[in-house]
Amino acid sequence: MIVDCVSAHCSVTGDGAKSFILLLSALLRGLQALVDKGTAGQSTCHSFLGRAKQRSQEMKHVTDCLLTFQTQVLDQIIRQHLNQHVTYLFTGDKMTVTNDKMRSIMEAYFCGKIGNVHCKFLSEMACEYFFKCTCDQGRGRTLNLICRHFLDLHTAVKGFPIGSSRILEGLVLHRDFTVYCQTDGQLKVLVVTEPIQPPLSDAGTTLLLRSNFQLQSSNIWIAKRVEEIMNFLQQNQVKLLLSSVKQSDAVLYHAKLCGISVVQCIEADELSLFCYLAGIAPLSSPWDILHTRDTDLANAVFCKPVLLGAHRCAQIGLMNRGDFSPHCVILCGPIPGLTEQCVSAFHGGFKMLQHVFQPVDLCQGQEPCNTNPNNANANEAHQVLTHCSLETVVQEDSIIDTLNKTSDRHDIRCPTTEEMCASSNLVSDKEQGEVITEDPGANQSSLAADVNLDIRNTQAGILAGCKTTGDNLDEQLKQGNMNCVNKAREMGSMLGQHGCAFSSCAIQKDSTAAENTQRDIRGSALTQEHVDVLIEAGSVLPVGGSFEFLLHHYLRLYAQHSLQPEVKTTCSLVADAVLNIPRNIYNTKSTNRHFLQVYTKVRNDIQSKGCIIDGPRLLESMSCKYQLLVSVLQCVRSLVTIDSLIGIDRKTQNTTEGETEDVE
Amino acid sequence: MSRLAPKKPSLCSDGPLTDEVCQTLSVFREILKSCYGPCGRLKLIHNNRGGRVQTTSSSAVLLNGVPLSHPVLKLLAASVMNHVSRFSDCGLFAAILGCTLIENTQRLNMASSSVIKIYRQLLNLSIAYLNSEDCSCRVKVDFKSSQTLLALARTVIASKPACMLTFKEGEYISSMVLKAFLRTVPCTVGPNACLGKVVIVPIEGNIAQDTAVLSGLLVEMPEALPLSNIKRLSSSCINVAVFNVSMSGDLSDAADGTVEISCTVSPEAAILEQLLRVGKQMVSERVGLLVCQKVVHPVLKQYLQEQHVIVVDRLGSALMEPLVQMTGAQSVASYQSAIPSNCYGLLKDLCVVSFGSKELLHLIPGEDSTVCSLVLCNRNETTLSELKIACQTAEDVLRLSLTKPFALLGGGCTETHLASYIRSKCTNRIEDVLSDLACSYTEYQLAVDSFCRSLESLARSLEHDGGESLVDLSHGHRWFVQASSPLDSYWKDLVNSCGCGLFEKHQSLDWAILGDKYPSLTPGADCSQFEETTPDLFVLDSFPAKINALQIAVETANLILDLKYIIQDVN
Repeated sequence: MIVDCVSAHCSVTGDGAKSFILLLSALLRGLQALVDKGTAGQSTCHSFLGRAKQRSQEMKHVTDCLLTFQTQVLDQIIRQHLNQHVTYLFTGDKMTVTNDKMRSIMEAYFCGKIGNVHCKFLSEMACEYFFKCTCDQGRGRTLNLICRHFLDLHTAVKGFPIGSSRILEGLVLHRDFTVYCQTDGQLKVLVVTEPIQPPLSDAGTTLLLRSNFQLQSSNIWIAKRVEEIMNFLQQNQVKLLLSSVKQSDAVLYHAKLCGISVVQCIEADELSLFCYLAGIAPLSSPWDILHTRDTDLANAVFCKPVLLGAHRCAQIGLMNRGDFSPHCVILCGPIPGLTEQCVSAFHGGFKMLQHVFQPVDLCQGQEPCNTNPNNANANEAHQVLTHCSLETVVQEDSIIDTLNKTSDRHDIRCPTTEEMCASSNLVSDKEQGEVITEDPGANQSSLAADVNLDIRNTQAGILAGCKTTGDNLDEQLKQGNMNCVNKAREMGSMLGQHGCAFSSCAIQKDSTAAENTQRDIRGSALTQEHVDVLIEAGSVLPVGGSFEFLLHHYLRLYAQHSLQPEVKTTCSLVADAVLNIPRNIYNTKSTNRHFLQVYTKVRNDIQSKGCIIDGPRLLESMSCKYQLLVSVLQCVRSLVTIDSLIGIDRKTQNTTEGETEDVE
Repeated sequence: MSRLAPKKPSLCSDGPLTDEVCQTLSVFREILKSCYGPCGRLKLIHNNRGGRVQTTSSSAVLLNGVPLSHPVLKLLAASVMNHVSRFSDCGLFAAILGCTLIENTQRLNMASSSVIKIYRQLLNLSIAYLNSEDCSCRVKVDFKSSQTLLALARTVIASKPACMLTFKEGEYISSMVLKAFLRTVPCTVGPNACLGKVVIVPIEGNIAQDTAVLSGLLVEMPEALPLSNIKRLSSSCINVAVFNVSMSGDLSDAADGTVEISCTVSPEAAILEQLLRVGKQMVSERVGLLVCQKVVHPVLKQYLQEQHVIVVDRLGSALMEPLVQMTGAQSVASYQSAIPSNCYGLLKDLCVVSFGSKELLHLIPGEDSTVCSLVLCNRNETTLSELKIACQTAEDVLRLSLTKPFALLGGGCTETHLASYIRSKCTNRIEDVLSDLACSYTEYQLAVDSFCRSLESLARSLEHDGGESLVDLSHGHRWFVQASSPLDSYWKDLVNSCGCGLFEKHQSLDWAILGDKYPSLTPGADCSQFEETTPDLFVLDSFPAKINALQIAVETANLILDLKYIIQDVN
């Protein structure tokens, strides 16, 4: 179960597996110590079972506090205190990154993944790749594409030192040319998914042969048809044929005669990426070839074979699509294991970057709610600002469709929306099992009640979300925050390879909504300035434990000033646990000396000057760290609620009814 | 339920480079070291249960044939095999250097992270030196004369003692290999120029002096070939038709669904009719030779032979591409329609040649053809297979020299020279290097010493007969002394020339034993000496293969030294 949590977390942020385990172990140890101390003091029950039960009750009590801890304490601390210490990755308004900032964050990432022998080289290559793909502008939008299709955008080559890795233009198909005819300059490409040569009889049909002549003339007709098709392609200046299946010898022969290069047996994913980048759709049936128009053919800049290791592959140059300029990265390594490690580190680096580019919104809910990733059509009439916020929930429950509708508002500020993507979700309360609907009366001109939704069902993945509770609303009001925001959190569920569909709706609530104390979620459009984000996009901190040190310091302060004993204990528990991470970073020769030196220095700096000075130069993402802490807290809660493990010999069936329940 | 066994937990071992692993590593290194070089010993690989017995000294066969037990060894072997699959040479060099580096580092008592950083810096230093202009162990390959190329080929062939060739036979075979390679280089370089192909035809039983290079291809003699057909064709240009589909009249993969045949239909007869029609067309267009990759229908074969057309079938896909390249034919893929006239190829001549007990049909192309056949002869199967591997390696080395026209001095001289260069470079003016690597002077010196000693022991391992290796103190080359020399003579009386053949002994040279501490020298031979000595006595190694082998060896050694845990799945 822990492994599942860790891999779920890693596929979201691309990093932090080791830190997850360290933090988890420290938290559990702290919990154990706390509970032991508690029950030792007041053992009213002398029997062993009774003590155990008391202990488990104590644990549960503490972990319940841990949940509210996140929303009540952690978010506040981050928003008020830690945000003063961050630096921003972006320059200017348009969310672009400069080269040296990018290099410092990537170098820190790769140091933790590859080791310091190759980290400089790989981090420079990652930065170069990012800038090449974004046409030197450094925007974050192409990161989705890179992360989603990284499997097809890279090639792993064995037998060379890591230093021979390089970046190639265009797309590299992992198959060689079956027929290669040299071409220069631009060419047209046709993509097919079925054999061009018509068979004697289709699958499921029967050909009745009545005479020899019929057989001969059928064969002759087939041969003539292939020739006709290939001649037609030649006349339309098609110089490259990409096929996902094996073509017959006759097709290859005629292709050679007509000067058309052929690549066969291409994987479906690669072919679909090629079609997406070229802006065409593969031809569904070979009978349509004779009717192709120019729009069904792709335009390629060049096509040539390239020798990678001991294999020859086809390299096809494509034109830029939007912001994305297609480039491929060739990663080399002496053995396949090391190459795979470099590949996954590279992929993880881009996932981490993707995470950095998104802001994290305030979450005020307690119960996890399930949402569905949605992608609304971009050409909706009313655009809603989107923010993305992520939070992983350990329980992998089934996804419930959610719809969100807008509701009425009184002093709603008229939105001046800028961003384009629109989505909305309806959050359903998992525990109550009901679908919450909103007051349909929408009197806002800016929002339409009929937000069109494309609900895309994804497979079970990471679910995230939180809900607002009425109590928190009141607390918010009591705390008198200006922009009392009450946001519904909709997440895209993220699967490792399919990237993330970002959608969330920001909702604004005003002070007169005190009457809405039930669990309502309302959506509305917001202006950008009034959105309250927890962590801005691109917030970074210096590496080496700055986040942990700062959090420890502020948690201790909070624990001192807080009045409730549970909050005190949870704060000190978490504060001690987060120190485990820098303790292991500075662990040289199994002594704590270096760590203690750094710790004392940082503490003195914070107390005297209010910020950390002379920190390390490299940077790491604060949203990733926050995400890690939240994931670990939820994992701890689910671990602690397990009462007994029931071992079974045979495999459980896949239906939900057949599962054995072992959560108490 | 008894079929299911509980899954065993994975074996987790901490700190993999324990004493017993080092023991296994040294055994592995001894095996490889004893095969290294032209005086190396052979290894016999056989399985008690049966199977092929192989006698070899080449790394590709050894590492493939010998199963390795420990994951560390498997890692090293996999890395070397990947290098060999691309470069085909210097596999033993990489493996032995990797093992020696690991063993020498274990004897130092330093933290492996700093050693790895220092090794990496030394590797970059070596590569930079070898790539620089004033590297004195680098020889430019002169394409105007054949001497450097011949030296390259000769070194490769001579380094495989399992071929059992005498000196003269080795010379002869290397000249044949060079001749075959030169035939594959096209005379006129057009826009689509590409190298041709050397097809190796092994013949067992003859002596090695019967090896020959023939222009064109050698194919199996078709049975029952009337000799009159051949005589008829010998005088003029021959049209060739090449088919790459099966002409045996089967409908195997033509239909996805089912084909129902009524009783009056015989599909074989129908297809045979089409085949005979194609045959008639070929006869009318005076095709002299029909070559098919797959099987030809016997009726068609007999008809064509009666019409004085030679039919060669079951050629196989390996020979199709050189045949197409040689004759300029287009391989036809359908016999349903008439063959277009531009698909025919041309051959200049045809004849029958015999080697030993085998008779082969020789297809002779026109003047400029880049396809040739190398008929390799050797006495028995073992030596023949080893010779085939050696010839393929030699051809790859010659091809690699086209991309990077340099060669490194062989015979251990490059390694010795590199070691002395590194030693001299790392003794002084290294403060900035030390601050980069964040280590102390002593640590740096220890690591440099370990690296150089590994290189030197590699050079020393060329000596298998009990002799001694010396290093000369002006150029840093390796000299060897035979074992049977009297004990009280001076070095200068016992040596003749250095390992690569570049330097002869002269008065001002002085020697020390390789592997001992010797006074540091600044190696920098003037390159003017190169033109004086005759380069055909040189021993030369391939430049790109050796550089990649050096990089792979150091990187894999670094990787193994960096391992902290091994987790093995024993299910």
